[in-house]
Amino acid sequence: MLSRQKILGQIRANKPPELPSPIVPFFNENEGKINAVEKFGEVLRFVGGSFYELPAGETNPNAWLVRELKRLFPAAKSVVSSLSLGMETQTITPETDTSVLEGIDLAVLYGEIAVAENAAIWLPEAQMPHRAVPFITQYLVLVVKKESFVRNMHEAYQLIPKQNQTYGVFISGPSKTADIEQSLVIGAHGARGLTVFVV
Amino acid sequence: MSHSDLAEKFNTDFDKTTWHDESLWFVRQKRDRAVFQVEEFQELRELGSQIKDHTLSKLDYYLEQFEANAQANGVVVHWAADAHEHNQIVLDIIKKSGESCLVKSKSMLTEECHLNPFLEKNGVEVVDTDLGERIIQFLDQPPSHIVMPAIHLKKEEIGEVFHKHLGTAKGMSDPQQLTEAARQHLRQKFMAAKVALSGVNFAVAETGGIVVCTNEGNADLGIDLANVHIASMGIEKVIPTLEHLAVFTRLLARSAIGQPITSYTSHFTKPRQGTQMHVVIVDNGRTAQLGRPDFRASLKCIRCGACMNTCPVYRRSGGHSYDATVPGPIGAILSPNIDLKKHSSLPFASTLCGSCSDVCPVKIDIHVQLYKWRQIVSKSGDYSASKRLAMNVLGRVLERPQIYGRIGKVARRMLQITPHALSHAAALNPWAKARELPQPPAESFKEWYGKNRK
Repeated sequence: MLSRQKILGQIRANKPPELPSPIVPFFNENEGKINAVEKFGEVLRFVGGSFYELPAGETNPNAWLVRELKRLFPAAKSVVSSLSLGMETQTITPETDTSVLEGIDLAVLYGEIAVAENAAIWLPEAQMPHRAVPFITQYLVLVVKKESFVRNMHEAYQLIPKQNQTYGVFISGPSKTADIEQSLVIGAHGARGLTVFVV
Repeated sequence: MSHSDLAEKFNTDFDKTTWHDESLWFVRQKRDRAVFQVEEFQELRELGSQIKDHTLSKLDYYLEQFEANAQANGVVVHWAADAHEHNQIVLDIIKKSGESCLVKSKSMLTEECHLNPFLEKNGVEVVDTDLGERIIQFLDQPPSHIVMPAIHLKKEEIGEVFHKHLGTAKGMSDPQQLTEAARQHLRQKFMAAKVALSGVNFAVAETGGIVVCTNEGNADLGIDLANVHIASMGIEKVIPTLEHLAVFTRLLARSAIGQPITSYTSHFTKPRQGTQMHVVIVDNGRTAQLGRPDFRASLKCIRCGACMNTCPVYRRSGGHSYDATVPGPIGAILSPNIDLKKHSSLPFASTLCGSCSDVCPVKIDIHVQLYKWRQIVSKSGDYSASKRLAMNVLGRVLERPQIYGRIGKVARRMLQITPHALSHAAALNPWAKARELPQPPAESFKEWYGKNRK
C-alpha cells in the first residue's frame, strides 16, 4: 500500500494541467455506401480466413451448416458446438479437464458482432463452452447472423455492454505468426483455420 | 559501448545488414498499405493522441477508477514502485500458488524489469510462449524489436536453435515446419502450466478490465488453461473507456504490422470461475517522466514499433545496438529517462529526419524529443571529448563571418589538393567511411554573389 500512495502522490505532483477528453465520432458518413457483409468477407480472406454465406433460397440454415461442415472437415473426430447441430461428439463445460480440451478438432461457436473493417468477430464468454475452446481447437468455425454486422470498431463497442463483462475476444482470422523472417505462417498456437458462416 | 560502436559491429556483415534493412522496410510498406485504406486514419491518430494526453493529465483519477472496478470484478490489484518490487510481487504470487512453472506471453515491461532471470534465480521455470520470444529465450538474448523480437535472426540460425533445443532435423529452416515444431513443443507447456503471465496493451478504467493483443493466441491459451493469471502493466497503459479503446484497436495493428487488427484482441475482465487474476501496476521511473514537460509525451506510446520499422538508423544498426529494453527512436527517448549515463549515445542514433514522428499512431514528437535529449546530454557532459571539441570550434567559427569566409576558402583549396586516401581516411574522417565528399566548388556563394549582384 505504501507504493500505491507513493505512485499516486508522484502522479499528482507531476501531472500536467487537465486536458480535455475528445469526443470520438462513429465515422459512419459512408453509411449505406458500403456493404458490410461483402467488405467483411474481403478482409477475412486477406487475413487468412474463409467465408461462406447462406445461399439464397436455403430455408434450413442448420442443415446447410452441417452439410458444409462435413464437406470441409471430413477428418474432424472431436467436434464441439454450442449450436446444437447434432454433430457434436462431446459436451464441454468450464470444468472440463485440459486433457479433453486438447483433443478438440473442430469447434463451432456463435459470434455476436462482426466488424466489416477488420473481419473481427466478437466472441464473449457466454458463447464459449470453456474459455480455452476457441484457442485450443485445431479448427474454429464462427457462425454469425446477417443482422450482426457493423462497419467499424466504434459501432462494435457501442453494442458491447459495459457492465457484467467477464471475458471476451475479437477474433480476426486464424492464429498466425511472422516471427521467422517475416514469413507468414498460419497456425501458431491457436486455431489453424477460421471459417465464418453467415446465416 | 555506445550505439555507434555496437552499430559498427552489426554492420560488419554487409549482406545481413541489408537484409535486416529490407525486412523492416517491408513492414513499413505493409503499414502504409493498411493505413491508406482507412480514410479517417489521420483523425484517428489525432484522437489517439488527445485521449492519451487527457488520460495522462488525470492519470491518478483513472488508475484509481481502474483499481476500484477491477477489485469489484474480483481481481487483486498490486502496486510496484520499481522493477524489484514488481518482480517480488510476481514471485510471491507464484510461490503462494505452489507452482514452479510460468508460461508468459509478450510483455516489454517484464523485459524492462528483468523478471525472467530473477524468477529463474528463485527456482521458477519461465517459458516465453510468443514464438519470437521463445527463440531468443533459447539463445539467451534480449528482443531486438518490441513487436518482432527475433527479427535480427535468419531462418537458418533459428533452425539451428530448434535443432539444439527441440530436436528438429539438422538443417531444417522452413518457417512453416519450424513454427509447427514450436507449436507442438509449446502446447505441452500450455497444458502443464498453472500460472500464466501476460502484458497489458490497454487497461480500461470504466470496466476494470485489461486488453491483450496477439496474433498467435498464446496469451489466451496460457491464461485460459491456468489457475492464476498475472498481468503486468505500466501506469501509462490505462485508458478511460471502451469508446477510447475502439480508437486504439484501429490504430495498433495497422501501425505495427499492416494488419487491420490483431488476430486476437482479448478482454480479460473477471477471473474464470475458481481461478485468480492479479494485476500489477508498475511505476519504475514513469512518474518522473510525467514530471518532465519536454518528455512526458513519450508515455503516450502504445508500443506498435512503427518508429523502428521506418527509422533509417534502426534498420541499419539492429535493435541490439541500442542496448536498451525498448530500441529504436522511441527507445532512444525513453531510455535516457531511466539511465542518462548508460544511454547517453542513444539520442544521437538518429538523423532527425522525423519519419518516426510521421508514423507514430499517437503523434509523439519523437524527433523533437531526440533533439532535446541531445541538449541535456551535452550539458551533462556525457559526450565524447572529440565531439565536444569539434562542436566548440565550429560554434566559434560560425559566430564570426570573416573567419568563416577565410577558412572556407582555405578548405576548398586544401580539399582539391588533398589525396583521396587522406581526405577519406577512416580514422581522420569517420563521416566519409561509406560516403563520397562533394566536389569542392571554385568559389563560395558569397563570393559569387559579390561578383554578380547588380
